[in-house]
Amino acid sequence: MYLENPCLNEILYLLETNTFSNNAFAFILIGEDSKIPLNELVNSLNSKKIRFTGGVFPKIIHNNETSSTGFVIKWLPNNAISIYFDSSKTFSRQISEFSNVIFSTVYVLTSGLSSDSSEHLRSLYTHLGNDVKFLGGGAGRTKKHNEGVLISNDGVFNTGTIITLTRNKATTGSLHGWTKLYGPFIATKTDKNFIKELNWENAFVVYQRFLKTVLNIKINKENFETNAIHYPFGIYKENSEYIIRDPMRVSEEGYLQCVGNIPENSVIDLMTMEKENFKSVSKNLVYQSIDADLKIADALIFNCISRANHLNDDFYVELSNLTEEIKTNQNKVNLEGALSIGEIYSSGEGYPEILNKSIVLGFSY
Amino acid sequence: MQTNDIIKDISFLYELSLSIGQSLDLKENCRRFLDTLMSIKNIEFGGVWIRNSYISFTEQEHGLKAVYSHPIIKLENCSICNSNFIDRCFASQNSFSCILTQKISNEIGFKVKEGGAITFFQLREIGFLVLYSSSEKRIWSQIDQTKLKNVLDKFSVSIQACISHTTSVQDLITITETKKELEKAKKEAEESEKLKSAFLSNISHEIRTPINAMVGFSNLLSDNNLNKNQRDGFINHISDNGKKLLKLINNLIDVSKMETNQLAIQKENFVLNPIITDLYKVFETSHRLNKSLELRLVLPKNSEEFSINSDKNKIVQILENLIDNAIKFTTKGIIEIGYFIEDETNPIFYIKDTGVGISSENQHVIFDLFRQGESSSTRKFEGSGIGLTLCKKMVQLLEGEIWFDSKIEIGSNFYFKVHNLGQSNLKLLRESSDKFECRIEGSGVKSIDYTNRNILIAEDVKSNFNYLNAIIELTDANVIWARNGRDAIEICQANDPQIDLVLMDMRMPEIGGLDAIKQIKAINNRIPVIVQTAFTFNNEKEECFKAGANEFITKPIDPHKLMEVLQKFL
Repeated sequence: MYLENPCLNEILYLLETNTFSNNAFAFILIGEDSKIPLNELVNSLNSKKIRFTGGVFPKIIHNNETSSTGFVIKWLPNNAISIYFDSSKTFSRQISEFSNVIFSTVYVLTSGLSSDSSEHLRSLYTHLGNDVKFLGGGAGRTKKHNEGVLISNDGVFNTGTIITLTRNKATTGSLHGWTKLYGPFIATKTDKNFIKELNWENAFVVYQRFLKTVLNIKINKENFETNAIHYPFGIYKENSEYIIRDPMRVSEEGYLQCVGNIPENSVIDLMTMEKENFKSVSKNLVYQSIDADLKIADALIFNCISRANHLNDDFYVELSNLTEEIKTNQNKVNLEGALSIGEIYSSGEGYPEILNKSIVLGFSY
Repeated sequence: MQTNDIIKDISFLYELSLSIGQSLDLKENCRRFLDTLMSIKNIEFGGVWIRNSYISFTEQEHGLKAVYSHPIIKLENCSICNSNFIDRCFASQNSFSCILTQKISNEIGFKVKEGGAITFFQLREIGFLVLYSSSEKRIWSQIDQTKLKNVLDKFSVSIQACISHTTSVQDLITITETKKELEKAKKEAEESEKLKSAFLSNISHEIRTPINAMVGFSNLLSDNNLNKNQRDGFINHISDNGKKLLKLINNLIDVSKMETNQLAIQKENFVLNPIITDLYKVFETSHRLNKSLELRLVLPKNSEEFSINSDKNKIVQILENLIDNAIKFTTKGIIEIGYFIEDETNPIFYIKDTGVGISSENQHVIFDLFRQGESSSTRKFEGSGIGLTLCKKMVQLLEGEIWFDSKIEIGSNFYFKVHNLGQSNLKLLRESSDKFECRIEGSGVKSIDYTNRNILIAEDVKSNFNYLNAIIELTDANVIWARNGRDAIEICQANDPQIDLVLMDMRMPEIGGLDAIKQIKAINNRIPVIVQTAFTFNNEKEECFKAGANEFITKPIDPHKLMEVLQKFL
């Protein structure tokens, strides 16, 4: 369910009058320009005894449109369980209480720019393995704000990870279409999501020099974000697309801050997106994610904010293609989700990682 | 092979090689290596099994153990008891990759029973590594397995280094601990040697002194010109020194028996008061000349027939030693000898003195053999240094306990109790108790009603508290017990319940009576504080009043006197 710039009462009314008696757990995605104070929303939902989890994102997706004031509410089964954690230890303790329950899908919302998000995903995988499908994204804001970015019945959180575990089956898929442009570089010194050195030199200096000499692009710390968005790094992964690491910011020391960790000494490449690849992403992704034999009940998308910024108008073309592809399979299903800071997915095969510049798509049946 | 593919392989092996040996912690080392391997190869499970014979401090000699696995959820069992299957698999190859079968799954305790691709790599002779993918297409080709061989050899060496490191650290800890223990033992032995030397020089002095006196006065006796008084005096000196020597030799023999565990006990039923009274008389007679020292005997009321079943001689010997000690360390003031009865059957003996006291630094060693509170060569007090050790050992033999409290320049209180098998005492005591109640009743105490009044008794000795409680309870007052001065202050400060009167002992642990009175008065000046003490120096009384005490009563406490005081303030 999509709502454009709703007021609190409107949300409460809709949540209270939910007609899905078996699906009364609300999964809420909020646009960062929404005027509803999160604390007030949490308190109101708690007072109405509505179980929920959610996060704030730069923009909300509704079919082929995006809005920074929109709301998306997805109804999850009543037996959904939510866990908030900010360390592996906390998660290990909390999940051990559900060791006898078999879960099928976990919706993951993590603090997107946090340096701990990769470690949190690792903790999830340690205890849940690949029998559970992961689907989610990094919550956060592009504008400075004092409020938190994650919500649940337990409160409002600025960091950490909230997961919602359900026994309902879902299928998931992910694609980005980025390919190797140049490489390799060696990330000789890293600290979680910071690349401090590339090829034994200051990371920004190497990055700047490369763009200048090879692509004739002059970048400095001021125009870094506008330019770097088009030249992310990629970590090679066998039998899969590269894992993209988006250099979001450059620090005073010349360290490149990415979304998701870069292991020290990892060999990385500089990436680019060819027009042909871009065109095929929508069709391939829907094909990869969907179980064509089943009737789709709902669709959820996490699409990277920096992908949108990189593609500009093409992003909406891509979104439109995706919507069309889904409607070809199931006419009544709307494509809803969020523009996120990092994407999370696992299809049950392979080793899950925090993704950047990617589209993650999930279907329930 | 394309250049790009070679670069990919080199990059992969480069990353993998550098992930090895980043930590000497076994799990962390495995984690870093497997995280890199699993991430690049996009593998869903990785685990490392090590032979138990290579793992430090494990009880199992055979089989293997999964020392690391990720995700942990994939393993049902971390141990492989019988390694025959694994040994057979690696008999002719260092690695193999196949579709997971139930047989393999059961052998390694894998949760997934069938399907998917599983790949085994031998880690030299120490164990093996397993990688699993749910897709059966992910079976590793022989060439891919071979590519990893050198890196895996390096990984095996790093695992051995981790294990050796753990063993070395443990050995180092053991060596450090052993060294510390040896140093401690050496120090104790040196100290013991020093103490024994001091003891020998001391004991020779202690034996020579009475012998000198005996020999000297015996020689003087041979003078025919002595008058009767002089002769009697010399004979008394010889007799006293003979007794002193005999006591010392008996103690020495007992110490020797004690060291060889030959000190036996002989239990019998006996009435307590005559023995203590006789002992008191002996000491009182021999110290009558010292006018500044008062020896006082305090026996419980109605205890004339109170008997116990224990070793009479040992109890006498303990009391003698404690009284000797008290006399030795008290030049003026009071020495009080007596006992209370706890729980109607158990006597708690005490010897209280107003002597030099024991410093807090020396309090923990005073029961050690050959020790004295003061052990320097210029010591002021004579004695062998075995008395208290003997007392403690004897009390232990009698299944009892001995304890003390002491303050420098104030004095010392020694207490001991022994296990009493006597049953007949109960009746006697009940009779005594009944008599006591009748007496109290006769005095009109029972007609006093202090219902809803809260009386705080600050007293560290339980039997003393019991005694006071027994009297006060007859008035229906609510009695609260503080075991030391600190508790008494806290209870008054909390003011819940509101305290109407405090009975304050002077010598208590943590915070003594004087300080407690001052602080209680500072909290609430209106609470009457009655001092109850065994020490009756005038200056002590003055100090108590100066601190803010309202009344002063001396132990043993007379119930009438106590009631009079209570009536005065409540």
